[in-house]
Amino acid sequence: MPLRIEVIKKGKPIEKVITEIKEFPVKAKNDLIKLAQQVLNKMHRNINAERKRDKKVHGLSPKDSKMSLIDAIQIEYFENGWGIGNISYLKANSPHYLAINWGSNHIVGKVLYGHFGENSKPRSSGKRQPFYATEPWYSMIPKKPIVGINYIEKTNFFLVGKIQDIIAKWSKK
Amino acid sequence: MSTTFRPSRNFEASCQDYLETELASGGWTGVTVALKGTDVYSTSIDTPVIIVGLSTTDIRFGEVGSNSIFREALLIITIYANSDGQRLDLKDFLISVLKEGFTYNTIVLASKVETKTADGQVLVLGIDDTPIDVNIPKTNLHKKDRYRHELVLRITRAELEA
Repeated sequence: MPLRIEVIKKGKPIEKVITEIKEFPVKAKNDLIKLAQQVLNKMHRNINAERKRDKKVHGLSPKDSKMSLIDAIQIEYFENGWGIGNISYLKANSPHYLAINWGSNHIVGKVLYGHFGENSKPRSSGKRQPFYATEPWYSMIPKKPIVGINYIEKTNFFLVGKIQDIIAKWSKK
Repeated sequence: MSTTFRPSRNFEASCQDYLETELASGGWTGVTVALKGTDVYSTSIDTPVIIVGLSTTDIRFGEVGSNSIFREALLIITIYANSDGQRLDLKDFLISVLKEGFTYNTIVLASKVETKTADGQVLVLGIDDTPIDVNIPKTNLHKKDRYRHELVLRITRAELEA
């Protein structure tokens, strides 16, 4: 089957276009590395914006030693790039990270313990469900499902926009 | 008194209308298409259910010397199906119709009656297709949560917004 190649960048020989494509990651490297912190901040903002309760304090409750989702999502750098949120780490330390993203009804009717100690009591709020002071840690029985906040999709959308900006910036030079 | 929907609600309502029409003409029966915020766990709603919701929007100026904007939005479509087979069939059907884009309607609500006026086209720039698995065994999930799928669309109007 013949291969058809269409060169859409007019006014440049194909050799120069190929060189530019190869050089792109080198030229844009600093911008791509800087993007990691922006993406992490955006993901944290996306979570905080939809937060229903105060941020949990890690390690206060012996009933539930898991971390706050925000504390568990960090940047991981590796040789040729970076990533946000290590899946193995999230599974171990903030296992509800997907239920918070997509929502789920599985907690309704079950006893849950928050990360609250005696010096960090949950705030009572009229419309929200109460925590009960038990053993003496605070527990609750949710009546409503987790509403998905799609923080992963929103962050990915942000990332795509930023990468488009970087491509546009370095394609002009 | 009337309410004129703004672009975000127009996107959602236009997509909902389009999916309802396409599902009916595609031979699907008993599929509810609802907007984000609907309580899918309510006993009054049976699966399969499709939830349409607009998420974030990226707004950029479209022209030099003008305040016209270009709006690119994230539209999230969640399928709550009765089985894995139905989940896959529904998501493939939705992809096949959504990739064509759909009519953008401006909507005015007066005395609980919606008046829709076609005002251009919504372009679908990309679709992400993800089965929803919250890392909880299916047997521990609510029956409506067992067979879920998500389509994430990047959409825009085919024209600048004044």
